[in-house]
Amino acid sequence: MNHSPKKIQSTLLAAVVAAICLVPAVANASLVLDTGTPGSGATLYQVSTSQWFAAEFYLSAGQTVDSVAAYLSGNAGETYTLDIFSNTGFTNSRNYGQSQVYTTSGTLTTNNAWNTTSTDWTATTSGYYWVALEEASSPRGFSLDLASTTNNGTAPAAAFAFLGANGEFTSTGAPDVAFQVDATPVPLPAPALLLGGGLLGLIGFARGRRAKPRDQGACSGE
Amino acid sequence: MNLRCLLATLTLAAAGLGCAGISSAQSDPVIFSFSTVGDSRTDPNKADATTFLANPEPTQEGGAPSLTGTILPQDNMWVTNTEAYSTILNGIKGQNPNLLFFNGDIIFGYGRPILPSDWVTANGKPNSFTTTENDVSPDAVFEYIQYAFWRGLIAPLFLSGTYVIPVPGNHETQCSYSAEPYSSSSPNPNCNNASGTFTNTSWPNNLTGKTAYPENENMFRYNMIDLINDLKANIRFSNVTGYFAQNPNGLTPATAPGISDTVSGNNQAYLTYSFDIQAATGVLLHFVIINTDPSGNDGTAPVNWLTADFQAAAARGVSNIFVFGHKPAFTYNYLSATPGTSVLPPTTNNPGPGGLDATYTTTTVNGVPTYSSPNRDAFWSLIAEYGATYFSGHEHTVNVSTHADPTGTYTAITPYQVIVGSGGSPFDDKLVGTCPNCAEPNSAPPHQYDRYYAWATVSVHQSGKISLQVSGFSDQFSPVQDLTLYDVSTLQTAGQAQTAVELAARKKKKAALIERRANQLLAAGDVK
Repeated sequence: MNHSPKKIQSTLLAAVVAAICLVPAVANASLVLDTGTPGSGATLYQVSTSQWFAAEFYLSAGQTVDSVAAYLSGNAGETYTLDIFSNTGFTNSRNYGQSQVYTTSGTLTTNNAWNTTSTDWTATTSGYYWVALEEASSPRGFSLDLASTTNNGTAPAAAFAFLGANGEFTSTGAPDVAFQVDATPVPLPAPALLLGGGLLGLIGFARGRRAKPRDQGACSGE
Repeated sequence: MNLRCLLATLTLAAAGLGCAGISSAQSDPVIFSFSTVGDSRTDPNKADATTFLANPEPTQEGGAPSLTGTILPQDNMWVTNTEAYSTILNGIKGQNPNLLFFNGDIIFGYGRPILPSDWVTANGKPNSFTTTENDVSPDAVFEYIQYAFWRGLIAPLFLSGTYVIPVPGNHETQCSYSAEPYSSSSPNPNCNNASGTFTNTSWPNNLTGKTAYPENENMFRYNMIDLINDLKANIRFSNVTGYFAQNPNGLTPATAPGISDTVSGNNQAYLTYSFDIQAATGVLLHFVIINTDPSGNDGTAPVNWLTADFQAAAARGVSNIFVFGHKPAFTYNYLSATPGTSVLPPTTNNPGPGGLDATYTTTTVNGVPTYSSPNRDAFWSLIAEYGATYFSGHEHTVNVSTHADPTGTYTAITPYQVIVGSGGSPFDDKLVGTCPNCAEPNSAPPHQYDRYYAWATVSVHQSGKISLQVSGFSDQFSPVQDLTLYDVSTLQTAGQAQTAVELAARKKKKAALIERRANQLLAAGDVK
């Protein structure tokens, strides 16, 4: 297959511009919740069928939650549930289940470390959300602990809550525990894409004008 | 992909597999576990103020903690700290152990539950045809309902795979002449008072007016016998736990402690007993339950019976021995955070808040008294000889400590004592001052968990390693956490202790042989 040098140049240029357009999106994928990595003396709170923990964070409409991490101790292979709840009716309600917007399961792979679970959920409205670590069953021989932290990470939680004996998530007395939520930014809107296309066209036009004399020179030499 | 890339990829893959292999080798799955806690009863007259509730505004949700509130009427009636104990049971259910050993003070009790003779022969079953209301002690009714309430609380555990093993405590086996609903001015007429000046019995008195009686021991049997008998009958034990109880001991008067361990000679069947569980090949666990307040010998451990039981267990090749009793062998001095205060004997005596060490004798030499606890010393020497671990209650707190053999005989092992009398009874380390102007007592390390409701869970790993984890929550009912201060990664084994004993015996034998040979040579005149 033959390609003229000009065609190759144009393709490369388009690829570079496309890459430039994509780079900000990748770079902006960031932690929207980071309560900080626990220290060596962290308190270990037991996650059980009767004790779940949650942390509150903010999302803009259109943001996609790519992963959730919790700093866990326990035996490798222990499974757990990770949920995202909307803020409405979540705390101090026995009907907190109605606030659930996303659920997935995770598996402890590394003891006393961040354990990350991939997620794929996009917020449709801006607002505060809760990420919760739950345990639905108690297999023999397993135990799961969530480490405390000082909530001084790059994106501290707005609040914490835990599900206690009365069957409600409550913030009263809830410990600061180690969660991270990673989310991609809102995709670029159509006007921005048009602007990008226009810029691409301008660059191409400018290159075309600059390339013409060189082409002529090259021809005259023949 | 060029050759270099291919090699790099293969190298990375190999490294990954290697890591996976290491990770797999490091994980040591738990094959069997048990939890233990004691003392869930409360005291209507002396409940901890942190358990009081109030509802100051009818428009708000009720049940708000209030230091000036009142005890939950339910707990006043059935004399249990329901919230704390239920939270503990929930936590235990979450850990899903095979067994739960409850280390005594199941009920508030402290009465003298005298029953008509034909009830006694019917294992405590009531019979209105042959008896009248005048034949039954009111204390018996009170204790029956408390036992029933406790049995109801633990019932769900069996459905989730945890079988409960009961241990008698002093509130089960003793009568206190002045305990609620009695008082020193309106004492219980059926048990001895503090000065031993009366009552309807010639039973030996004691300093504190708390005395163990056969009727109380019978009441424990009537309310717990199904759980203990199942170690032999196996109606549900193996179905619940996934394991068979083996070699049950102490389920008959002939095999239980008797005259050699109790002054009265009252047999201790179903109060002191033992059994084995084969957790895995080479991992044979021996569980021993002892009554530390037998009638006729309050505040003691059945050392003679234990000696024979441990010997038999060792002969079967047990890898670990776990002993459960109500009273600790070594009183934990939770007051030591405040200089000048102590609960150590002789500050406390027995029967009373102290452990087995509070049953002491005093010897005065040149006007200076010295205290010794021969029964406790003999008990702990056995624990050390066989590399056992001792779990107890009685002191309403949590503490894990190690103690060397007081007799200095068996030094290879320094056994652990685990106190988990933290199941809901009013904390021994009291709030300071008068509530609502009261404050938490000195909780400087290592006393930060003295007012925590807590339990211990022991895990047996596939490798045979035994680890201990202590879980709990504060008197403010905080979330359950791991009390890592008290965790033990590897508990001692019977094998370690027995190997040391055998080595010591071998060394002693060798030394004796050398000495004998030397004497023979000396006698023969071969050595100059």
